Amino acid sequence: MGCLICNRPSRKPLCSRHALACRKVVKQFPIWAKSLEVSWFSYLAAVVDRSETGEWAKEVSRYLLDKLIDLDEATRLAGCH
Amino acid sequence: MWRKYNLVICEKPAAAERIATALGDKEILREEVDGVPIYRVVRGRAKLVIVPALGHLYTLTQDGGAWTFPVFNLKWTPMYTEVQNEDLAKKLRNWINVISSLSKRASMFISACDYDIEGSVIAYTILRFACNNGCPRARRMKFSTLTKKDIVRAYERMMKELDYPLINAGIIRHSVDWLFGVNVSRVLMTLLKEETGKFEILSAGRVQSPTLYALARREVAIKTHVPIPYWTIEADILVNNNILKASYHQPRIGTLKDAHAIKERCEGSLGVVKRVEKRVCRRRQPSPFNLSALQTEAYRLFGFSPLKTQAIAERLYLDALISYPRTSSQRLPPSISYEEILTSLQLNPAYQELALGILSRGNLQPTQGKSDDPAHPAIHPTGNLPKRTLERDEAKIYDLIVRRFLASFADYMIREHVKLVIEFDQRDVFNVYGSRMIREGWLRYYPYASISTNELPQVKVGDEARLAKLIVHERFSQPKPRFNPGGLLKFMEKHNLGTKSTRAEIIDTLYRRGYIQGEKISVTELGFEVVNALRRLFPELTSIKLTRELEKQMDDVERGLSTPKNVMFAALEHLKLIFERALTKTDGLGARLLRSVKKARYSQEVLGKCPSCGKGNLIIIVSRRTKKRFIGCSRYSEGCKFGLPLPQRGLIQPTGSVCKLCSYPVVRVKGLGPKPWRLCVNPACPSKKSRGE
Repeated sequence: MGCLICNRPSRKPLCSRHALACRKVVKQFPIWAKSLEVSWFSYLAAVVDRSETGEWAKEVSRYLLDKLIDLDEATRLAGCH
Repeated sequence: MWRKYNLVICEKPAAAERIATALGDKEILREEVDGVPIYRVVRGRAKLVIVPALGHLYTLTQDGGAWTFPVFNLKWTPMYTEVQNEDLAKKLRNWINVISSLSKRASMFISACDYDIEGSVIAYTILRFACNNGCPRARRMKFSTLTKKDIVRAYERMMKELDYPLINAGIIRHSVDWLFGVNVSRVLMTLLKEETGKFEILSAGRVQSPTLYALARREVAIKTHVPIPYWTIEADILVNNNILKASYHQPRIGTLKDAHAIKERCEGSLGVVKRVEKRVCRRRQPSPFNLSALQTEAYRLFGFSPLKTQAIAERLYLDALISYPRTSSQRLPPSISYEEILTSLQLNPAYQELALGILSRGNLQPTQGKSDDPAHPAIHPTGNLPKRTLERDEAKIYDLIVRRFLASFADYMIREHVKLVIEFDQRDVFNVYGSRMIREGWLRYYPYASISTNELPQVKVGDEARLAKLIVHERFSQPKPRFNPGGLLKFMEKHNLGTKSTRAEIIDTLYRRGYIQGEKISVTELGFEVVNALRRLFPELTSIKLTRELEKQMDDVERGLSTPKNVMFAALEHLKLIFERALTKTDGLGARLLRSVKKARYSQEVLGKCPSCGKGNLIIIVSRRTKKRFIGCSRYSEGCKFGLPLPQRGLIQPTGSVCKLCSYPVVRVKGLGPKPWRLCVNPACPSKKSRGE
């Protein structure tokens, strides 16, 4: 089985790189929600646009956005229940 | 010629010439035997034959047996048996033969190699293997500069025997590094070969592995960084008809709502200067350079790689312009004779006034840094005038060293820092910062330090303040910065990874292997895969702890507090554990390594997009028929016949950038001159026409 994002070999839906990035994306959302009062999907769109965002975090955010994956599902995907 | 003499062994030909010139009473006879320069001089009643080495003439290798792992049987062998280049092998063989033949008539040997681990090992291996074990009849000269005064003093006060603590430390360091490097690299290569049938050179070592792992961790932090928003508030505040640049006392405001609330409160309200805080600061002189500090500073100021700085410093040392550069010391002992150096520097018009300024102060007390090195003082000028015109980069490093030396004798720099605290609406506080120079002190001698001043107008407590402008800036947290070679060197020094002499070379190896790339270092896919394999197979090897532990034990050998045997046992114990675990966890790693190797090799060949088809990549191709290289499109088999010529000599590397005039890729050509140059691959590029090419 390959990573859903990069197709690298992985036993889980996301490889270790993208799983880590996904965990960070999920973890920072409450801070954004409080600071800017944004929804989950607006947050993902903003993260994709920022130049400071790391390459893997961008790939994860883009994937979550494209597939319209909500916060609960993203949390499961990241493996941080 | 002479029936008996003392044989002096030096590290390099340039050092041999300097030592011969310094020790010869009268004439110096120079002859060349099989390309090896030999100097015959008479000093008092002693007849001296001075012969250089070419750095290491012996190296460690496997003592018999097949190419396998684990391998623990190692031996010293002449370097010429290990080098691929035939001309070099012949040269090295001749060199050993000449020294060996000179040793037959030597009644005593003198090691005059650089006084450090490497120098001591170079002399020891030559004495032991080329001079029929001349070690018991050998003595050691210890010097920190190649000036006549220092060499003569070192000769007159030479040690009664070889410097065995340094030799032992050097031998154990070479052995431990060989055991770790060879075994771990062979595991990686074997894995790749067994799983894929392909052979690729991969390397990992005791210092290289934790360094690469640290870089990979930083890379992961950067690539998974998710920025956090915050806000800062800056304002122009009018006080006594002066506009002052102020910032809100809270450097980060967590929510947009709070930031706007502050803005609303402040706008329209009147402020007052609540406090004027003044603080006089004395800034200490910078410490004299050790090698790492010099490398870091040269990278910061001139962008020189650590290896380049080290090479330049070594040239300046061989010209007797500076002291021995491979030192950890940031201290200048009085024995180097401050006054003599400063008096000599006065003769150099560039430093005349500065040196005079220091000498006229009378009390010569340089500032001393924290690091110390029992073998050598901090890097300092010898005071000798350059006998040739220094190259531009050499002149830069020399100037840096001289000025840092001069600055260490100067006064403190004194600055006054002022902070104005302005309050609006009795709760919103803005700060204005300023500073002014009271005494320039050492900055006059060392203008390379970046010091800025911003003098504030006269303001007193109670003065009225009005808001002229208030801006709320939306900001986002930044990822950790990438290491640059200078920063990486500092990191390695802080964590005791490698030695002052090996760090720059290790960084260079990481680049050469394709594990890292760029000035702002990023880890390549291959680098990640190697780290991955190392983490799975040898997690201990990537830990800073293991390397630091071994470094400490080796330092103890150098200080005579431990024996090489103890360190070797500890190293073997670690290796044994590492291999036991490695043999059980290899699934699929080889194939992944091969994929990354191929990707890395391909990315080293891709120069940019094909301007003809727009889809393929331009890559370097070597013609099977003519053996000449050229640029072609990767979609050749699909019909794109685009091609461009390339220089047939030198190393060609992609730069990732395109020509501003024609948008064709730009490559870096190395090895066709003293410096690499950038070349637009388009033969019809307007830039070439304008230069008449």
